[in-house]
Amino acid sequence: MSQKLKYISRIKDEFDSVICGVNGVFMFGNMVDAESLQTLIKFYQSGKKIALASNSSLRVKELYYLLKHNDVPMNIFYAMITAGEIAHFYLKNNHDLGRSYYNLSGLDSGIARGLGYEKADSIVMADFILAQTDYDGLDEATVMPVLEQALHLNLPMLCVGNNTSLVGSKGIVSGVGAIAERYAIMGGKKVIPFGKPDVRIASYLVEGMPGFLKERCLVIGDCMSTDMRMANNFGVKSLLLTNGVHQMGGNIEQQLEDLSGSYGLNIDYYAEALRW
Amino acid sequence: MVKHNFKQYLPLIISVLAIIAVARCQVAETTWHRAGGIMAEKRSNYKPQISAEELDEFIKRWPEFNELGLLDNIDLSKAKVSEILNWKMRLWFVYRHWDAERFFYVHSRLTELLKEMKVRSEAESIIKHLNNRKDDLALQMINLQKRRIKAQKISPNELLLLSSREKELNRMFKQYP
Repeated sequence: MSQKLKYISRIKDEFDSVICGVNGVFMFGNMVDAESLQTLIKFYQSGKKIALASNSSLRVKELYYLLKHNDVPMNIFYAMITAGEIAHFYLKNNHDLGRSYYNLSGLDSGIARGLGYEKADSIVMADFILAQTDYDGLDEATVMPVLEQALHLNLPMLCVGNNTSLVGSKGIVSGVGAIAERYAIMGGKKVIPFGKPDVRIASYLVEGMPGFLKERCLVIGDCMSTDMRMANNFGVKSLLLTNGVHQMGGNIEQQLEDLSGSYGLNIDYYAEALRW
Repeated sequence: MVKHNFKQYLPLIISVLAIIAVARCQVAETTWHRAGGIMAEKRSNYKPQISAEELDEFIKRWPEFNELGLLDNIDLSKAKVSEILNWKMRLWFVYRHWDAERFFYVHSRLTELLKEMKVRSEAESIIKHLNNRKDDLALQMINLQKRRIKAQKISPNELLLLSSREKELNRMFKQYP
């Protein structure tokens, strides 16, 4: 049974560290939510360690500057990782996919930059597909014919960020996870996912964290299939923000019970938004 | 006292061994032919959908096949069935009246269908809790989830068949992926 929280300060003494998402937690599209950010700052001021785990396709350096540009005090974060950074690392160390990629989304976050890969203008010239999280959403009508061709060519897909839907600049938009899911259903044999809910992300973030204890760690996020699943798989407590991508309203308790059941997850706390 | 000379029994021993060998070959050949007949009949009835009998037989055989370790170090998504079959595997399939191609087809279809059922269940529960809402964000989310369900290629009959065995299948694939 999940416990409702109005203010996160109520449980501050139960935790020493927090692993927290970015989008849907304190950033919505390109906007930082001031109150949520203040909550994180207060968390930091009360001696907690905060680590960021983002399913964004941006590399860590780019997310760092994006947040800094939005007046987020970056010193409050102990560590951060993005799906884009992990994908970059993968491409750097694995050359068996080939050297040419087709970028499925309009945005190019520079995952393959500087690694000697070539961006193909046409899918037929590519060795693999690079599907990146795009906060404007992916246009399915454009993407589907490309996926069909890719399937025919038996191309592997790198799915950077696993969210099937996310809070983007145009409201709730289709995430790259939905495209990867569709590709797998169509018969695409190789989809390589990067990002939450991979527990190695949590392990990486807390590595070397002084006095880290799993029982005193909390994962905060807005997505059941990524944030909450990572928390469950990592064996730490979880806090779901209900005003994020799931847009819960009305009888939230019942909804949460239904959702937890169908996702097979246990949610410890829920709150409408991050408030101190 | 009669002294037994081993050499005098040698022709007899050789004859007995020869008879056993021939008999075994005949048994194997008969089994092989019988299996061939059964498999040919099965082959003529193959459909893209998995039948209840096939599902039961697969659930019985998949753990057994895995425990033999025949698939160790083989990535099924990379290899063609014909490329991975060695003599041990061929024998295993023949004696169990399974067509290897169909066996792996059933495996891959089941894993796909289970994934699809999971997606469907998640999407349905999201829609269920947003159904009374009329605001833009809720409608966007409902549409997204409806599109996820629509993309599924699972037939109502298979959905029904798998629903009744979903827990058992998930447990089995957790143990023997």
